[in-house]
Amino acid sequence: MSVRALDDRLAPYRVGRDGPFGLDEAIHLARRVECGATPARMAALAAAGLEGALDEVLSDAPASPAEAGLLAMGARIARRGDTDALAAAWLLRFLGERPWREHLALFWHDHFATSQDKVADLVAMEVQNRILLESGAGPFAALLERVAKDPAMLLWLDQAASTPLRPNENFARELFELFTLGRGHYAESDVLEAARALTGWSLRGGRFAWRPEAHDAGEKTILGERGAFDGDAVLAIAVAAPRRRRFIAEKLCRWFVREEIDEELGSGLAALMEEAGDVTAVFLRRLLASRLFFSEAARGALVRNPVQLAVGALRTLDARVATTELARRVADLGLALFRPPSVEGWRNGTAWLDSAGLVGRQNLGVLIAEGEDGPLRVRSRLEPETEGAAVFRAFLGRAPDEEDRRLLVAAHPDPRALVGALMQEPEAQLH
Amino acid sequence: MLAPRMTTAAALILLVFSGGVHAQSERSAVSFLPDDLDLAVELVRPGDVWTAFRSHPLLAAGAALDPRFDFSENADLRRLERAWDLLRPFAKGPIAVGFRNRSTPRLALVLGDPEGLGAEAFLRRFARAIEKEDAPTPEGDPEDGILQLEGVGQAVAREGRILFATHPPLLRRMLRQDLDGSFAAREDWVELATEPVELRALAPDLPPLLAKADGGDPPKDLFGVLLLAPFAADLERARSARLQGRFRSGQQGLRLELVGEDPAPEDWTHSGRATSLLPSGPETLGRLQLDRDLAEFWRRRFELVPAAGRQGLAEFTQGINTFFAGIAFDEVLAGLRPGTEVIIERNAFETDVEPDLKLPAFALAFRHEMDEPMKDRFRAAFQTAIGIINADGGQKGRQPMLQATARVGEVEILAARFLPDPREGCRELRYNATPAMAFAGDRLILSSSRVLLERILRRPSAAGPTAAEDAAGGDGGYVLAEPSLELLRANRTPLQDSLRLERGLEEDEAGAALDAALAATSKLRGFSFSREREGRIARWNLSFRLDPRR
Amino acid sequence: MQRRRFLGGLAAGALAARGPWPVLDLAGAPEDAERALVLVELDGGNDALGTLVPREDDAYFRARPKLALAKDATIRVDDALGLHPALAALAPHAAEGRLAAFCGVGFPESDRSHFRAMDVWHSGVPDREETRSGWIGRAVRRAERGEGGTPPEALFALAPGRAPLVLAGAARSVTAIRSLGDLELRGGEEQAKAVARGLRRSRGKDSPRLEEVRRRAEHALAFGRRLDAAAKAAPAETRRYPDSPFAAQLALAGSLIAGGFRRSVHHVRLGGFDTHVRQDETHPATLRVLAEGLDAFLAHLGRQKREKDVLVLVFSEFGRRVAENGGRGTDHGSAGLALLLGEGLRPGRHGASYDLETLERGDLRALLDWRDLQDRLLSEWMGWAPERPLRDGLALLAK
Repeated sequence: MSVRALDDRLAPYRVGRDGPFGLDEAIHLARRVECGATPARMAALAAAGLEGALDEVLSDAPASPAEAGLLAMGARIARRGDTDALAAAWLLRFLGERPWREHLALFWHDHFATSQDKVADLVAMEVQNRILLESGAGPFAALLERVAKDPAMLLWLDQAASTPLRPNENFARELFELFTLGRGHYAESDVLEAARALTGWSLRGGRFAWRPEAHDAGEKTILGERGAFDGDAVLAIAVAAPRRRRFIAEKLCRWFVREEIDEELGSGLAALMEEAGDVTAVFLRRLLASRLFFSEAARGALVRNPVQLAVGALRTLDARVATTELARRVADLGLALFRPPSVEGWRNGTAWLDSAGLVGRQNLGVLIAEGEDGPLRVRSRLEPETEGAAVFRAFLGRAPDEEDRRLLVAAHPDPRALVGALMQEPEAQLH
Repeated sequence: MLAPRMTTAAALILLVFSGGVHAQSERSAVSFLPDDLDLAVELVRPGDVWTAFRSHPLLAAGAALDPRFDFSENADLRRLERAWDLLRPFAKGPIAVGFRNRSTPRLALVLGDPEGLGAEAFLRRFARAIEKEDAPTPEGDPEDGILQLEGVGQAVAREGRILFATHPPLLRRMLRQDLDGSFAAREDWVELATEPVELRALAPDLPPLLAKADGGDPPKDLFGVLLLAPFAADLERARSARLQGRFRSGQQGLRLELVGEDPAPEDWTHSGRATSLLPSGPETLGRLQLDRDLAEFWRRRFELVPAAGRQGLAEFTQGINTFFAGIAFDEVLAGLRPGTEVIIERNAFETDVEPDLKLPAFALAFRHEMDEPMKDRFRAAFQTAIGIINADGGQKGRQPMLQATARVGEVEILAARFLPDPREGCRELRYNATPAMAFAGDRLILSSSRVLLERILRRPSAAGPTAAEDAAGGDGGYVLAEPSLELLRANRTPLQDSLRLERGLEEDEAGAALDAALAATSKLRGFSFSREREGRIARWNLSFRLDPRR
Repeated sequence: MQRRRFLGGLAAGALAARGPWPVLDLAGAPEDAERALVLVELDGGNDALGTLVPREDDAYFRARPKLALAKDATIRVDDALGLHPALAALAPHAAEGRLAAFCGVGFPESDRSHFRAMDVWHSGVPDREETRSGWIGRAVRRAERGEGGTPPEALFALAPGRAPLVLAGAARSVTAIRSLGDLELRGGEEQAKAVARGLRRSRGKDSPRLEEVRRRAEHALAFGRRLDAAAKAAPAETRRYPDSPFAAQLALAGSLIAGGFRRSVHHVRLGGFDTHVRQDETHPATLRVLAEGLDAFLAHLGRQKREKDVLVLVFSEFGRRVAENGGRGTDHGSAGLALLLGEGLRPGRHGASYDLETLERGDLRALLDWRDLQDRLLSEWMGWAPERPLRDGLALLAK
């Protein structure tokens, strides 16, 4: 109730009074959560109603044997040290059964951006990927602790090399700036003091190790609190800081709903996060069930990042595809999985749409249209009787009009050709 | 320039024709070719060539794993098969192909016509085979029976055969062999024709033939040069070339002889070696021997590598020098005598847990003449290298390598192994690498696996099923199919993984593709190649051994 | 004492005047709105003393007993300095007045780590961690905001591998390409029609976001056509370049400039300068690749009548230690060498030669702050607002 008081836009979307829940709404939901889905699945989601559709897209079913098999494949590849293949294995999972978990993992990969280029230990990268997958939907504090104490992060931000004599500030700084609070909500002294408190976190035999002898046990003042803090205390202080809820909630909103967030909406999101008990899946469900999510201003308002675009097109087609090549193409478009450009992650939004990026995206459409003969070897498993108009609507989020008919006719009967043609349109860059 | 379609046609002719029935006159097909061609090819039994190609186990295995090798998927292969079907009636006996590469390249063909289909039928089929369906009706000269099809060529029926040429003067020459001299009358051809093979070719004057041939990019890296430069050098020096091919079941092989001027001083390639440095054994998968003077090669590396590779070479030199810090790499090489051998064997795993990817082990051997102090410095360099790996790995939280020594008889082995990774799922060594080195008599042996090195040292010098092949001099190598297949089977899971990722196959589809590929390859028993030099002749042999029972 | 010696080496009046930078001679140069800048990064830390050799300095021979080059082996630049013989391809350019050199350029606080030093050079911000924008990118941003000068038509990152930070920070995006065909539509004319149809159809839809996408897609299509036109106007001259990946980057820069991107900034990179051991073997090979590539590039510009429009800056993240190490190599140092190539220069050495008598931690002292050189290039060559107030002439680092 407090949420509604703060911002009406976050109130639950009441089907009927606030608007319908029909095929368009189901498509909007599935495109944002799963990056895309087949026309048949869109229709089923529409038929299930809002609550049923949310249950379905945010399914809490455990990993199937097939998914477990893919995770085991990832672990094997990581031991082999093949980064490209690991990215390909992740995309294969993305085309699988629980896309929302993968999508959230991608969100957190962008948030806790860690790159194999520096970590240089693919096993550690794969372990981090599984943490993001397993804990990405759960309580934020637990996710943060797992990620922070994981070898990939300890190597990435040099925490493992920090000593009381020369405390390394990298992790402490990014913890506040990028992982929990954002610029302007901590002071330089907080970074220095937190860096002292974090000393003693180390690596031994490729695992987190607590080394009390390398810990600066003195008094520190961090975000206004005073004590002989250690690393765990730093995480707790950062999580408890008032700004943290809003920071994380806004970022999720920008990823799943829309980019523009005003002051009022920001406070509302923070309150919603509190009501959700800081559990990401609970927050996300409330966010997706809000009036804001179904509002006109949120429809088709986000730029698809390269993974969202590629996965969206291929999930629409229920495709089997050479994911090694796909990972390469997606990396060419600027999103190299396991290799974000910096600790800030990727530049999202319209930054994806520079000239080379747009041409690459349009060319990805041509590659998909090339089907099995092209390097992506795309096979669609859509029912042969699936109508072009339904594919069009599932992918672009609106029904074709009279002018679109020619496009449908030209691509008939191959849905791959249709999706490929649609990817030439500006609308395809958005979802 | 020869039109690309024509080049394709030439390739088709070489590959496609089949048959096996001798229906023509006694006169050989090559005897219809004039003697001033740059290249003449005779397919004595075109059918065998086609069958060998079409049913080759490697092609079948390739097709199972990758549609690009599948006749029903690949457009080029489909085109090839269609062309073969079209032209089959003319390929029931020996055929000859002639080629002249001067200002305008020209192509001549001599084919059989046992069914009496005639020149017009041939031209029409040929036009379709090279996809010139839109060609007009052939026009004929009633006097000499020569038919012309614009954009394709001329053909005439003679003595139960079809003679074809891309240019009228060439066809006229073919019809006047008695006056002008026939290619078949050349002494070198007569010599070549005595050997009973299915394919033979002679290029009496190689330089003009190669003049416009695009040899592709020269190898850009050091190892490419190390492997391929002798071939390029042979080719450069050659005046003429002879090729013979056998395509009978059981054994298939190509033998290329390049006849050059007297061998140039061999510089860094050497020939004539006595015994094998690395005796093979039951675990051997294959081996490679290169007669090179590495010291000389290294000294001249910047001139041998094309400009494009120099940047990388300078970086490589820096890297290798870091590894050999404290010892001059040139000095190390100077202590080596010509001749390098590589052996590949099934790996032995020292832990109870095997790695996901079971790579084979390999060893590299040189003959050396280092004195004791030099040997010690080399050993120290080995330890430095391990130290560098550890220092680097330590920064990245990786497991260190532990050094140890072992002994086989009098020989001391230096080796290192990774300490087991305590992390879950990582206990297995990533590449089961246990790098090792030893000086054994005049041999310096480096190996990726200590167990392999011990194995080699325990082996009598002439043991194993392939001892005879081990001893052959010159460049050479072989791969044995059976143990290699076993290795593939052992790596089924990672292979299946990569088929799923690289081809987008479902798990069961990937499994089926692997089974089909393994079944096809099981017909293969081995592959070998060699290069020998004998005075003016460089001889390259490639051969496949097939299992005739399967 | 040292300071006086340094001042004595300066070009006359350099310190005094507010006037134009004495390094450039812009008599024949086009308007600054038509000038291009090419940044050549020598990756790994180039050895300044082994590139532009203090051929008369005894201290050099003492510090480099094994690596020092004989006096007459070098290519004379002036009484004090000579180019490494592997740079022979640059000799004509030096002789004809197209080469200017700065010995001892650095930052006030140097860091011998490659990564940190690279970030500092690219960002132009030595006093704090800055990994988000570079000195060019920020200057372009200022121009875009109307704070001085004409923004470039394009920023090109032509080297494979990591994106050059120096170009980041502008509103316009950096175009990272390896060849003129990189923005080609895979589906050719047919695809171009489909794209154009999409652009037409999405016009006038009531969505600002879609309008933004449409605008960018329109720009991409036009930019691709410009590249295409550039390829046609200036056919790739790769054949007239030596066969090296580095020269290929320069060939592309040449084609872009000759093909119509007159107002542009290009970044290319050559690796292999981290010469800890056997520098006498590896450094010459790498220098040769550098010199032959640059020579072909300058010749290319000459053939296209663009030689007056382009300035080339050759730099490295740091120089190397003065004394050689035990492995006939040199270790990471601090101050290094900057070379400028082009027509609009006053050639030769600017500022003092190396000071091998007063070293800092065994390194060359920085005689010139990189930021001053960077700012001068921004303002005097490209006509953009400098980052800091311009300091007079070649200012000595405050010490």
